[in-house]
Amino acid sequence: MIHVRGLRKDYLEGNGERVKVLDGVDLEAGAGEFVAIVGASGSGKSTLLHILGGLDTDWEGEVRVAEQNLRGLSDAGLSRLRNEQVGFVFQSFHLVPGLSALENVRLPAHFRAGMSVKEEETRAREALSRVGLAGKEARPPSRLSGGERQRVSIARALFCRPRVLLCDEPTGNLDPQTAEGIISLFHSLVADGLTLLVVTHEDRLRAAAGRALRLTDGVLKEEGVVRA
Amino acid sequence: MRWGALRHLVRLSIARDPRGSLSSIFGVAMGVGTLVFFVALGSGIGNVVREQVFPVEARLIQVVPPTVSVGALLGGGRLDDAAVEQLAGLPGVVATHRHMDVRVPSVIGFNGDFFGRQLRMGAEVAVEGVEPGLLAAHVDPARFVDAGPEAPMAGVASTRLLEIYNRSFAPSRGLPQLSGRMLEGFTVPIEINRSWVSGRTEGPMIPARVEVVGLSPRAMLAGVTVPLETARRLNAQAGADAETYTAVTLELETPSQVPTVSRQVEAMGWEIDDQDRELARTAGAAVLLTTSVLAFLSLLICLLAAVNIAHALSASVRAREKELGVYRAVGATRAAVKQLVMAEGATLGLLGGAAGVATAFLFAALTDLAVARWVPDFPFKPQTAFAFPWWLWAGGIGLGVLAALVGSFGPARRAAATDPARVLAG
Repeated sequence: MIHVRGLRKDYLEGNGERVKVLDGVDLEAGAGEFVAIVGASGSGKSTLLHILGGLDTDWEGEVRVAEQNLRGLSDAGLSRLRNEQVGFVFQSFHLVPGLSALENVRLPAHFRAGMSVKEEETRAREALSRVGLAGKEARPPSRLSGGERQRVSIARALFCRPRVLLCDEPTGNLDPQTAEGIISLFHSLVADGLTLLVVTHEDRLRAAAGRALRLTDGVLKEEGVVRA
Repeated sequence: MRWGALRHLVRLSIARDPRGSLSSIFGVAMGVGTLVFFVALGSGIGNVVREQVFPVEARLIQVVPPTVSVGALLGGGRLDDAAVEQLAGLPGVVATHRHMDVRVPSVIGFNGDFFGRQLRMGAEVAVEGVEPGLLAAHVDPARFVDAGPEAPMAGVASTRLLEIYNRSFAPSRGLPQLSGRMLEGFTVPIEINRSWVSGRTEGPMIPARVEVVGLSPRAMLAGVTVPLETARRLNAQAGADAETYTAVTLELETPSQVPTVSRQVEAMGWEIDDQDRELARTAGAAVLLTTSVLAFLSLLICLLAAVNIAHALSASVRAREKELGVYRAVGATRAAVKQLVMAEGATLGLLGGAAGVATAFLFAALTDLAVARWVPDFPFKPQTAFAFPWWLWAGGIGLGVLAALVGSFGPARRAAATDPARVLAG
């Protein structure tokens, strides 16, 4: 599902110095795998996630996600990939303030054709129900707790029934109890065949994953399974 | 992006910043409103000039004999029936209407009851004979005929003359306001071949009466228009030329034929009397010039509105970077993001344009009301000084949208170039 070979990424700092963020990253993750990526702040974890989701297109190497070579995809192709095959979950949720929970979940449908309004609504309700938020469809983000907001953001990522879910510190802003709920939701998604890649600092989430990889000096290394 | 989705997201972003949106809408409304107001004013005044003050009919040409010509000195240049026949044969001419001035001076004198007021007046007037067909659209041809020397002469007054009487002459002298219907049947004594200016005239003085049988914008302004046969008879009685015509009006198929036929007429040795046309053109040009200057100022306001929208949308795009990043993360293309910001601008322009047109309508109505109430009557004072053809309000709204699109282009490009990886990090 995810195939990365020799991924390199660098950028220019303000002083004109070139900094290597990823220096030959290799990664394989199949369907139904739950992979945690850990590493120090600024080690390039989020950058890796953005590259896998086609948000960052300035890199070298080979990256295939959901059987698609990202190097050959145009902006429209990458957008379609994010819309249909890859879901994103962010630490800060990034919900749109003026929209209800249901409307936030339906957001991806705005950028794709061929889905009726009725189908959109049914899917959005299903996604919210899946994350345990049935009955809270009409609430705006301001009237939801942190955990509920993260669940809405997961429901939004699941709306288009993606094959890959990329999560950037999904429990970073949540209390332990709420984080547990999110982790068990991740387990059920993985059990359904979803490939889950989570960037995290948290031992709990790292322990919940089937595999843990550490990103150090631009290179990804197996860390083995850790039990929290 | 789907139309419904686009509408939804546009509504959302406009509703989120109502003050900024209102400011943008106000800016566009100001520009469009002033433009539509002044163009409507220019168009309305232009209509009054063309239709009432100098009612030049586009399909008509007035042909007159040359003022000085070798032909005239040798006995040519006579506008007689043969010449009229030749003119009638020109391509594009569908009818000819002959004019013959009564070639001796005439005096009108009135002393008696004038619609309930005592009136004593006298004036030296011109008398022109025309073929009834020329006035057929305004006067019953059955009444506009020469009834012989014993009966009152059928006379037609100018609608413009009545307008000047009602708005200027009558109010200043305490005389009653008149309508065309009231004037019909009114008779006034006239003395043909008499002058108060020159003192003495050749030939006999012919006393007669003129009965008003109607009003027409085609009747002469400072005089009486009578049937052609009446003028011919009076000229013969006074011993003046009763054979040649003073002018011939050519009626053409279409206004576009005027230049060609005019050239042919001039090539035949005749002149075109386009005094009225020139006056209308001059007045129209003055109105157009004034309107253009004001419209140009309004366009500058529209330009400022576009700059205002550019600023407002730039600020909005900066404030919504994360939101635009989320759109990209869930599948929006760069083009879709650009389309979204442009659609926001277009919506603001549409609302501003519509508000501007509505404001122009409102101010025009208020201006008309104020003019009707507070400005004293004057000749050709219109009921409305404004004209709002469909293209004006449609163009006003279109201009609002265009200004907004111009203003939103830069912010839309910047929004499309937003790096989602940067704005969504952390």
